[in-house]
This record gives sequence, structure tokens and C-alpha cells, in this order.
Amino acid sequence: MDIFKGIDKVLPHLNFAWKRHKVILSNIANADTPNYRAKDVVMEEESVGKLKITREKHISPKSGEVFRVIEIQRRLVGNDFNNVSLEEEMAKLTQNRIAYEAYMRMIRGSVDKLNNIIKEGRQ
Amino acid sequence: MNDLFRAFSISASGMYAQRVRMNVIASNLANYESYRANGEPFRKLEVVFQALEDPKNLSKGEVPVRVVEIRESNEPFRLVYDPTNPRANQEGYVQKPNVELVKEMVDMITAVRSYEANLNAFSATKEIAQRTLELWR
Repeated sequence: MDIFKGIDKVLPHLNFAWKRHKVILSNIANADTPNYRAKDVVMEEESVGKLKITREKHISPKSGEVFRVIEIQRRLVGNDFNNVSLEEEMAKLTQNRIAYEAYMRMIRGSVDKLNNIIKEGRQ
Repeated sequence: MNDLFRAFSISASGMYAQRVRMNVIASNLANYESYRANGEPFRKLEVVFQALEDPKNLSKGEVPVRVVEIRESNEPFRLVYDPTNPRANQEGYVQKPNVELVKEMVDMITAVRSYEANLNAFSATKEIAQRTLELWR
């Protein structure tokens, strides 16, 4: 529906932030695991914008398919072949959390708008 | 919703692993001078961490950590010259447990810091969850 457009636009970004949060959690949990490689998520740009459903029989892409978990290529940090940098993960965690909050505010704004519409219609 | 709880359990797995490590360090320090019932010196214990990277979890971005085993170290025992000790061998050396104080202290600091990092991540997840719940109001 058209009035939910604002929410629909933010939703992929919100999913991305949530998934990235989980990946950061995993990196922090495995900060002392030998042979563990730090991971990150990337959003595949082309699949976000271009794929459109123009006919009824088109299969809609699953929400999980637009993100990809990648391993970070970096020089080894410790001598246990683990390349997690805890400082960087903490920085990413904070940054990602603020991004999530911003998206949530945007959705909140849309919801408030809808609430207003409903309220005014009642009078 | 299940997704949310699994995110909490990732951080929890990290905290649990570090706590097991703390227990092992405490045991090592406590047994710095002790011997077993069969007369052999105490062997240092080591924890082995493993990332649970099965492809199903990996595509979701969830990689918890697990303690796979706690094993005895094969490092050589400390030798201390003490001819009057009843455990001394012919040359007067006594075998002591292979626990090294400095290593254990360093390990302990790392474990505490990692635990804190996981705890911070845990509370970040909590905040995100609260933000999401605020939509309900």
C-alpha cells in the first residue's frame, strides 16, 4: 500500500543493520578462537534496486538473499591465526547501533503519521 | 523473535567460554605447587575454543563459540634444585607442575577483557531490542 511506502523503504536497511549486528556479536564472541576469521556483511546493491516484480508469477526474492557474509581479509593480528580486532568490532558495534536507532526513528515517524491519519478520520 | 534470542545467545556463548577459561586459570594457579595422588606433578589445563561455523548459521551471520575440550598440557615440568626435598631425584632436582605464573596472569587479563567486550555487545543487543519494542507503543 502507498501509505506504508516509507516503512517499506527503510526495512531492508533495518534488516541489514540487524544482520550486521549479529555478525559483530559473533566476531566478539570468537575473539579468542584459534583460526577464526573476522566476518562482515555486505549488501548486494544490484539485487536491491533492480529486481522488480512485474508479473504475478514472478518469484519474489527472499529477504535473506540480498546480504552476503564475507570474511575480512587482513593481516593476522595474533599468532593463533585469528584476525579479529576487538577495537574495530567495538567501534562497528556502536556505529551500527546508532544506525539501527536512526532507521527505527524513521519508521516511528511513518507510524506516527499513520496514527494521525487514523485519528483525524475518526473525528 | 527467535532471531533476537539467538543473538543474545551468541554473546552468552562468548561469556560462557571466557568464564570456563577463568575457572581453568584459577585451577592452574591453585595447583601451582601441588602433586597428584600417584606422585606426578600437576599438569597445566588448557581450554580449546572452536567457532561453530556450520553453513546454515554462517549465512545468517551467527557464529557462536564453544569449548570443545579441556586438555592437559604436555609442556615439560619445572625443575627446581632442592636436594633436601623428599621428592628430589639423584641429582637433587625436584619436578614441579608446568604452570607458569606470568602466562596465567596474562591469560586472566585477556579473559576478563573478552568477557567485558561480550557483555558490552550483550547490552547493545538489549538496547536494540528495546528500540524495536518501542514501535509497539
